[in-house]
Amino acid sequence: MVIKVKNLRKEFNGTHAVDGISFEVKQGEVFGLLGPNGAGKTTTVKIMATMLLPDGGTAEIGGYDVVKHPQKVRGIVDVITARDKFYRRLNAYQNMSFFSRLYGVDDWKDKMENYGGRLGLEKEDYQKRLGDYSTGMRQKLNLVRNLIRNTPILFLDEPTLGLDPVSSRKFRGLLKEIMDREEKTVVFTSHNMYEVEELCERIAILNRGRITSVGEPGALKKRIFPKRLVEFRYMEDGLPDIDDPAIDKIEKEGRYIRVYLEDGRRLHDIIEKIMSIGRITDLSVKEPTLEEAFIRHTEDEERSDEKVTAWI
Amino acid sequence: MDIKGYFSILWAFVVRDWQRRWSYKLNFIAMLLYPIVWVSVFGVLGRTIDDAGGTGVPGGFSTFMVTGIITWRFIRVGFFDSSWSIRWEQHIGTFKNIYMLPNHLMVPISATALSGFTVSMLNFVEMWLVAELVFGISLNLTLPSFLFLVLAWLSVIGFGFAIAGIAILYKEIQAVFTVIFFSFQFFCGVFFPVDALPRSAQYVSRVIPITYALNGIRYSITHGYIPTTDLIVMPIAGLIGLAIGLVTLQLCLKKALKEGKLERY
Ligand SMILES: Nc1ncnc2c1ncn2[C@@H]1O[C@H](COP(=O)(O)OP(=O)(O)OP(=O)(O)O)[C@@H](O)[C@H]1O
Ligand SMILES: [Mg+2]
Repeated sequence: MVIKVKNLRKEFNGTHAVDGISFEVKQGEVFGLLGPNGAGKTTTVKIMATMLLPDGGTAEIGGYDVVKHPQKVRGIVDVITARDKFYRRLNAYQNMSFFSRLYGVDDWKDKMENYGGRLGLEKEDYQKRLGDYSTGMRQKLNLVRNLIRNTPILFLDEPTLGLDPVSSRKFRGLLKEIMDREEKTVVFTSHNMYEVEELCERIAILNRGRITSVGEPGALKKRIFPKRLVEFRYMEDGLPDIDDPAIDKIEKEGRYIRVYLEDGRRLHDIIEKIMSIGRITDLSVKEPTLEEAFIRHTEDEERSDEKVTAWI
Repeated sequence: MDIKGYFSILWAFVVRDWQRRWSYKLNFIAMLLYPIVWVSVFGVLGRTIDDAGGTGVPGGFSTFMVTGIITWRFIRVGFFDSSWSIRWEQHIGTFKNIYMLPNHLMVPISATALSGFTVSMLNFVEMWLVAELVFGISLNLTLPSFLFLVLAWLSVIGFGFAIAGIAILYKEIQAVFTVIFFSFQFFCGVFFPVDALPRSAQYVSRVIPITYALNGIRYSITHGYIPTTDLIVMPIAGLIGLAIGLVTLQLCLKKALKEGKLERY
């Protein structure tokens, strides 16, 4: 395990920003921390990146304890956020030459043009002052800065904040490409389920400083929201005759029939049963998005206000 | 980290800072002109007073004034630069990238301070040339007296580090230190001899290292050597200043790390 977080706690004047969370991330894995505003995502990332001291618990990054060996940790970790900045008065070459010197990278110019080119930055852009960059361009250059430094572990704290949907999608595409190619261990935080679902191999849902569930996006969706809905047009009057223990209820609205499944794993059998009735058109299966799953989950939690313990 | 690595980082800061200064063209010119104007103003003022009969200060009042202002300009950058730079970096949001390096934060902070030293040096050379060429005031600059000046710089750089640390926690603190530092102009004999101050104020003068720095530099110009007291006081003051600065910075960093004030991205 490259990242081991155990019972981490951080309190800010009475607010339990992080309230005893634990998780582990494997080498080369892309791990998502998903949660609403104020859930404690940034606090967790900052502790793991040695920018913040925890009140309790431990975090080990690449075998180094964040409190005991912060400099070692910073040698293998980099953090990307949407608010990362450059020197506005300097152009991209000047900025990158500065940071590359700090990183001890000599062939930065080739790397910059190479990575930048792939992200869609033109050579003329590098002559521009950073103050004249758009948010999207700056975020691309930010990624280039990280690629030049090339740490094995990367924390991405809501990196697409402030990007328009198209730029955001492009940016995610690039991230995916890089993650696949470079075998980086990544922790990605977001409140955007779609983003997390697209990028992450495993997800922890964080709410009010606690992890409420961990798992791969698909399994998580099933566990939190196992129900499936099959909808189709039925040409006969009355309800079709389908019987299965997995069916929760059947509804009719106009010509449309909705079959709610209690257990999504029986989906294939049920569809076969439905098809065998005949006189059926427009059949579709509605799958819950992680977003629905996430909203339901946090709502449930808020309603019951019970302490849900992480199951790892 | 090795020496070569440190120099590479130091060089990065020096280049960055000069590129940034150069990007503000008018400010850049002003930065070059200021010291010349200062030396000229105080040079002429001193000469007027000398022509009117003088004040009895050894070496003449114009020399007194010019050495005062040159020494003052030389050390004030050390006092302010590292703290100002850290606050600025936090403010514009690049601090995180400088922090996320496998070094102690002292590395970038000291590199910043040393980068500021290049400004001190430039200003110093300018003022020295104007003093010698325009006003015919010979500073008799020897290696020991220059090293003495660098020690004076070190004695304030420690306080610079301390302010840098405190500025991470409390943004407004620089204003307080600005006031304190400018009160040093009053106490330390920058523009007039310490003897001219009331007795009680002179006690304050004695505990500020800058007083000894100015006295030593002036003595080396008029007498060709630095008095023993100043020679002993300056290195000790330098070391104590540096130690206080480093300890304060360390404590403030720790507090900032606990309270989440180090990096507010
Ligand atoms: N430096 C700080 N001082 C005081 N309170 C803080 C500090 N940093 C975070 N908090 C509090 O801790 C809680 C968790 O904040 P955190 O930034 O970790 O949330 P987040 O999950 O990143 O939210 P977002 O999606 O809005 O970025 C919040 O209630 C926040 O107000
Ligand atoms: Mg956040």
